[in-house]
Amino acid sequence: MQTSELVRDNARFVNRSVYRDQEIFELEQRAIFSRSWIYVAHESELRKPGDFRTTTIAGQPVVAVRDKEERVRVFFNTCTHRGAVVARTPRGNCRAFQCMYHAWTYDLSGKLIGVPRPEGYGPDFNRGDYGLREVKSVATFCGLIFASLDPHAEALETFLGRTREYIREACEGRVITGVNKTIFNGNWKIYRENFADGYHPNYLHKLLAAIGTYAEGSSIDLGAGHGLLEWAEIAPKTDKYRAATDKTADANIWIARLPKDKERVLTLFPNLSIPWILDAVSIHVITPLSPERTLLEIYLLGGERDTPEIKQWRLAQSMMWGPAGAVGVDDIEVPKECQRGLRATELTWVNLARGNAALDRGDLEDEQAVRAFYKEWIQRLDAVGG
Amino acid sequence: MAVEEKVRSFGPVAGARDAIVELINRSCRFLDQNRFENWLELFADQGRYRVQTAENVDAGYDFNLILLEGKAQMAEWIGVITNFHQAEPSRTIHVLSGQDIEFIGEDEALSWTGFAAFRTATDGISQLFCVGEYHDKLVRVAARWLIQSREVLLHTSTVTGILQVI
Ligand code: FES
Ligand SMILES: [Fe+2]
Repeated sequence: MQTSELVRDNARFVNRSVYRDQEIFELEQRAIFSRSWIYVAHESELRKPGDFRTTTIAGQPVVAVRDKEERVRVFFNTCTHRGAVVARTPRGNCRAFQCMYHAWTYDLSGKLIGVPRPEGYGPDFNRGDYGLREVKSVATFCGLIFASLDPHAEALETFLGRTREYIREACEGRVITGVNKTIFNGNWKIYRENFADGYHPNYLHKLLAAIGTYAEGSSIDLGAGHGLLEWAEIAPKTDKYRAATDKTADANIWIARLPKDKERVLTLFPNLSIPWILDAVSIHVITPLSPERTLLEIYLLGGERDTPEIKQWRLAQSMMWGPAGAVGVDDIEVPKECQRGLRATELTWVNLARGNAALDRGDLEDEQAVRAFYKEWIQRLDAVGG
Repeated sequence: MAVEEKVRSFGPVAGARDAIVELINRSCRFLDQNRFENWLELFADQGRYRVQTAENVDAGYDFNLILLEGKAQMAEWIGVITNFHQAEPSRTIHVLSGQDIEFIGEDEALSWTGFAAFRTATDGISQLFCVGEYHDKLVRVAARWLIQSREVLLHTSTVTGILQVI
């Protein structure tokens, strides 16, 4: 495949096949998801030794666990005997991983510590050869646990680069307070793109247009595929909103109470978005299942020291996102509707050309943050498959 | 127990049971017909509507997919759905289990209903998009049974597509 034909002119144009093609999907799994740092869990989910979370990296099942020494480890979630997963639920706590099938048992450091009737394997059987396979590159930043299947991955902090200050601001001292999940029939990149797109909110989200909380700001290419949208908070206009909803209702839920300088949506390469709008911070994990099918998991964050009132407030504003979200419904419909249209193979390119592509910062409705993603995306694909 | 006494103690309850079953069926029919204003009228003034997924409950999280306290908030949400959301037009069908109803007073009852909801999109293809339980508290106000609170426990933690109200 000629990957060089997929993205052109400083990522101002992207080939429509990138959203449909099975071959490109598989190349992404190899070139990006099997090599890049991928978010796997949040530290607040792994508080005590034995706490675990299961997820996938590049389609492979993994389990993140806090071991007896309080270290976070990530293993492929598969028994070395005949393959059953050793952790069967999304989250839980265990003293050891015991496989359901023949009860092989692994301690929290992955060592095989129990095999029923081992004499059946003969004298050469060495338990040491059958520990859980560990993902070697694991690192944490501000509570976000990442892993990479590349044992020689660059340092996480180097990878995060300029995003670190924004992650710190959004995520420091926070804990997960809930999750919502949906599967939509669209390519994963469309949802990812959408969160780096400062052009759509005033048009797609009629709610935002009505309460008018969206103002002047910037679209920024932070390098290495990461992007940022930021804009100043403004007081919501409630008249239009009231007229359309209920005379007695007001838009007070859609204001920020807690101090912060700007509204921000951070997008991390490859598949993470962290919007911090009003007082609600969330982590959107976008997992490709096939070219036209995507799992979206949204983890809501609260402050470790939030009062019950603030906690409720944040949870209420978190209803912005997800399959039942006040604006999230629109964002989930977008990839589906784009996917349907993108099946028209007579057309070759999508247009991401807003603003000056030579600059890494533009107006909020420019597309620097979207192009940032595709510049990195094509580089990674070229590196393995071009 | 004398027949007359039996009729007196069960008679009104039996009538109430029918009324409650009808109320719950109707609440689903109104949603399926996009008659949201009518749906709202089935709730008491202090009505409460909450949707949680089993995954959040199991994990001990307080997060609600939807939480609406009081009719004003419910009306506001209906306003968002009907005026702002850019959802693809679709039809839904709720398929309900029988109700398990327990009276906790002459004018108060609890009810459990299992449901499955199917959506048919504009392409005419239907799919199951969620399954769950309604935990309803019903009250009789001026001879009419209304929903005091509806707690929806979604077994489906990973919804297919969107879910605006269920
Ligand atoms: S597959 Fe795990 S013990 Fe046999
Ligand atoms: Fe959006």
